[in-house]
Amino acid sequence: MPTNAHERAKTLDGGIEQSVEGLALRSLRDSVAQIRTYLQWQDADLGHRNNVARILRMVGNHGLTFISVGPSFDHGPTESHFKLESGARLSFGITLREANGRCSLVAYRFHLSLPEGQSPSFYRFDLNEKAHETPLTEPRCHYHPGVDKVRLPCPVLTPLEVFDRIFLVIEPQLLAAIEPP
Amino acid sequence: MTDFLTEPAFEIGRRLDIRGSSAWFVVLRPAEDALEHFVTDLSAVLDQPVRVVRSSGSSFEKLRSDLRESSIDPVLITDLDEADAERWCALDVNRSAWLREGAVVLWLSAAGVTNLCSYAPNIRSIVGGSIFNLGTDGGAMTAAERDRQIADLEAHFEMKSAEVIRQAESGVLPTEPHFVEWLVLLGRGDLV
Repeated sequence: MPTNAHERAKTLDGGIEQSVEGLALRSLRDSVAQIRTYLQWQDADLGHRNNVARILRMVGNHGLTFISVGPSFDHGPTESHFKLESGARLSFGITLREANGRCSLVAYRFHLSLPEGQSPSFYRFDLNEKAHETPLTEPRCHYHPGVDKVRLPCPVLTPLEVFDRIFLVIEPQLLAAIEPP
Repeated sequence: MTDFLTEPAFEIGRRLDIRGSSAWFVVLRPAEDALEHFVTDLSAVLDQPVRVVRSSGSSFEKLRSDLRESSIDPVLITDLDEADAERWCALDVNRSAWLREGAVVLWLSAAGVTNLCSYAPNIRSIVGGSIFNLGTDGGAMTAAERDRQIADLEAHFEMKSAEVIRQAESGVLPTEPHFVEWLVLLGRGDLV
């Protein structure tokens, strides 16, 4: 292994760190409304198979708000998942901080379980709360291509940008794969 | 009242998307103050600011002028619960003062909806079936939901919540998103 791989990873993670710091979200209330609205529009296209108002839950204290859909860990379909047309199911947890009139991302995880028979079996987009001591194997912002212990770095995406990749990039490919042309 | 459609902000947005911007709606508000949240939600769905207008104490000319200050933005009239039978009748007779290109949303209590139906039949007709119940579920996690998530975290990581707090206080808690969530669920967001 090249001896400076860890240094390169640290440099990359430092850039991600700056991106997170520079990311300005709208107010907490606006951010929650945007997340809910995005899911509601998607659900309307799906024929209302998800009760977004019921599955989107929030809890907060000390300036932090945790927004969740679905279980903390995906062990199979549940009523609280957001179900997509392809049969994929989405669960996520987003933690936001509102302080001094500014709303910022603290951490998130978006877990998309793909329908049975699809490879990979899941995608997960994670933003860790802070940098890890070995960013080569655990970059602050990363995605898992179906393997829990493989974390590939990615730019800091906002929650809506993650939704864009799930609903507008991954889901169409899943549908294309399961539907005959 | 329980039969009205729910998710008013989204449903209003969807109907405006289908029918164009000019339409009237009634939102049956919950007992507690939810106006600010609703304005935020509706603004997000419509992707433009919703203007709040008050009608009480206004002449019809003032109301007409307020509604036409910008004729295409969505407007929410918030104080019609204060209107008595006479005021509703007058508003109904002078309904042409309300007509505009943008959407009009009336924010009413159950009693206000009853008054609208009783004393303003023309306005009621314009609203038609577009009456929505905002409800009281603002998405707050219940204690049972919180406890279930904490139990899932403890089982998955084979770690008790007390240990998570101890590690957070010592600055050695793993950096994964689940641990931040865990602290918030425990009411210890101060440790993040």
